[in-house]
Amino acid sequence: MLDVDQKSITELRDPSEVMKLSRMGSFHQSRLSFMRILMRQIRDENWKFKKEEFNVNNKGVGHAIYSATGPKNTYSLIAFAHDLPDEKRSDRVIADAWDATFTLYDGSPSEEDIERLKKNVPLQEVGRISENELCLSRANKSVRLWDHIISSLSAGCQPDVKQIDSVGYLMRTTAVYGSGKFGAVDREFVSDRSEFKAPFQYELLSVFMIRWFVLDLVNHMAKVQNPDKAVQLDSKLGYRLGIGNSTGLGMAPFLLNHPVLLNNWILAKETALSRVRSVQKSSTEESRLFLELYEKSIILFGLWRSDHPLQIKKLKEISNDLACLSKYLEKFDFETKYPWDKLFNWSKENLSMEGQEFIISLMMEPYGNLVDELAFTMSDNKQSYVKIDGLKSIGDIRKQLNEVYGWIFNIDWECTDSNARAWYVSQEKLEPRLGERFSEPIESYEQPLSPARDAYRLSKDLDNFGGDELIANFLILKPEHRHTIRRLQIISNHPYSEIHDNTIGSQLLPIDMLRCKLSFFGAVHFDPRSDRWVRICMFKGAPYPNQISNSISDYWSYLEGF
Amino acid sequence: MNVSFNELKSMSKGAARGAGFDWGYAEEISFAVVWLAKNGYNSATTLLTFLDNKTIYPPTNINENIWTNDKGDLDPIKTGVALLDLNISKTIVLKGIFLPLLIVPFVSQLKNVMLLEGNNLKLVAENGFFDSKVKYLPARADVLKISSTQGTQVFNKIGEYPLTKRCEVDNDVWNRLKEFTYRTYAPVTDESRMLGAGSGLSDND
Repeated sequence: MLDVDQKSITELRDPSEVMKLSRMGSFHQSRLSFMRILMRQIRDENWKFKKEEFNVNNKGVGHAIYSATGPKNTYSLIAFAHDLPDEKRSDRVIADAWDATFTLYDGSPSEEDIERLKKNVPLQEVGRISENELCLSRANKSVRLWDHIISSLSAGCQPDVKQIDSVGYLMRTTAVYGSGKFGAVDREFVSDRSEFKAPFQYELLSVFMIRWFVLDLVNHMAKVQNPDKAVQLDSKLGYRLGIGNSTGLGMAPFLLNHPVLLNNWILAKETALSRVRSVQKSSTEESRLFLELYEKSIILFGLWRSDHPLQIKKLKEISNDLACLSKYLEKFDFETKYPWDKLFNWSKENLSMEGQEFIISLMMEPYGNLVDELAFTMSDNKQSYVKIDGLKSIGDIRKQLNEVYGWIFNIDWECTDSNARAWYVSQEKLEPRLGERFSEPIESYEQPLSPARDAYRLSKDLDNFGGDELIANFLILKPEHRHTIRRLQIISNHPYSEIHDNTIGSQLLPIDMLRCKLSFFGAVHFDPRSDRWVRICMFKGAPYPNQISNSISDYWSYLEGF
Repeated sequence: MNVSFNELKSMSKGAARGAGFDWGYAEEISFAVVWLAKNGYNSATTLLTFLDNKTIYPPTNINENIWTNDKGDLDPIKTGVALLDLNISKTIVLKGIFLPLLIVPFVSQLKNVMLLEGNNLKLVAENGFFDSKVKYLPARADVLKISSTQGTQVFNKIGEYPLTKRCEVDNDVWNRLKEFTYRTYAPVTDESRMLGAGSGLSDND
């Protein structure tokens, strides 16, 4: 029986603790990750998935259609497979050809729709989709694993599990574009559907179905190569394959550009943590589940590989953490009062940030009844216009700024290192980039992605005005602060909406921003390829759409089927 | 071409910035353009006319009842934004305003439902904006009076619900807006090519 003492521990962690990039860059997937939410929903609502058409020739060129039907709506993944020469294979969003391209159609497409999409989806930057499509994406093969699996299956044997685990996916997507990009439907017109209440559900539905198509494609190509001998990939090995993703700087500004959304994600997670810490007594079943998933996590960490020094260091830390944690858990008394709070406090003293954030995600696992409902508080579907309250006095604004941005005064803004970087969009690639302010000609193109520096500049200019003056008057004279005043008024009402770090300092690691976002997606196996882009894996361990039943475990992401 | 509102929003913000507006105003402009598009106006074309005009000015006396600028016509964005910042409920007279349509989105956000009257236009909130008489708004108005309609029964606040889900934009207009946006992009250097996205490692595996 649920035993939560709301009175004893209701405090959420302070934003000054949570919103540091070093911590955000250590987040792990949890019950509140969007993939986990999607899987629960399609299980609980008994969604039906169907392969409608698989029209791919012996060269691997053609298209396929898969449908997903929920209680009210049907969605169709339309996949286009291409014959891509090796030299054209690049994960960069600025590439112009891919192994496969995809769109998620709202409903069941007609033949005319397929013809229209065939002419547009593979083209990407110049192609257009319509309000009937929800999103657009493209993917490339992991050539190494693809070739190994094809050669094994076509020879009638199963591929080597070690090789599968060393890559983790057969294809990796570059970006999955929603929100009206390339002409797709605007999110606001579909976000009131019950299946899209949590963030990024249709983008992830499309990835979930892409994984199915990729499995079909590899089986098909093996069969083409040796029709008499080829075997299908063993389903247990299939579980081990996720969909990879390369994520670069294009996604890094997202957290800065969507402060309310960021707040809602973190607030949900912090609320969940607070609820779990408030559990007075853990049942035997809850403790057992926690320990079982802990053991599985140790195996998962063992599969996590990275060649990047930053992640290698983190993996070493987590390995030490696990040794320390295992020892502690051996003697841990789950019968104690507020066991999770005790574990949480111990982890703060004894584990690295990776370890602390891992244990936070893990202790939420037995408590679906406390956590899962928070999934539906994580969107910001209205994304409405935020008007500035210009009737506030300069004195009020100054006070507000000191309250929410007090931490910026600990940074020496006169120092070169604090201003070393600038975010800009490159003329050639039309994508966000991070440059060196003092050695590249980029400053005049700077994007407004340095809220801390901008808040500091605002505070300096406010000092030249009397406290009683209206901020509306100030803004007529100083329009360059308008975006910062608006942001300040948003941040004041949303405690977890701002990153408490300098986003243009010489020490900035953009991968921390990427990891935060991707952990909320439910990604695992973060493998930074530099300080600016990262590879991850999605839906590893999940059942395939045609295996969905109401008996699917909540804990697929711990590789239950292995 | 047929674009989504999010595309229109990004393009408007980028074009406004490219035309030299501060980021905060660029945000306001993109809001106004999308609001008007959702209410059936060809606002991308209006935006282009607005960005092409360099001789408009912010009101200099926003604490008074008649807003004006001695240098020339009022800038509708800066005027609309100031009306909203101050949450105006009293009667304000604007003397000489360029593209009065562009202040409407801001007036629509005021707490009180407002009436807009000019020498050749009248927008009554309770009739909505789709009264055929107001389908077209002039390129400028000598005088525009903004007053509260408090006391009048209003069923729907103007522009509350989008009337359309997509936006048709003339290709030439879209390309001109792209040219404005292009000014916000940094030219490529060898360094940015190498380091800007942090590449250097092979994508393939």
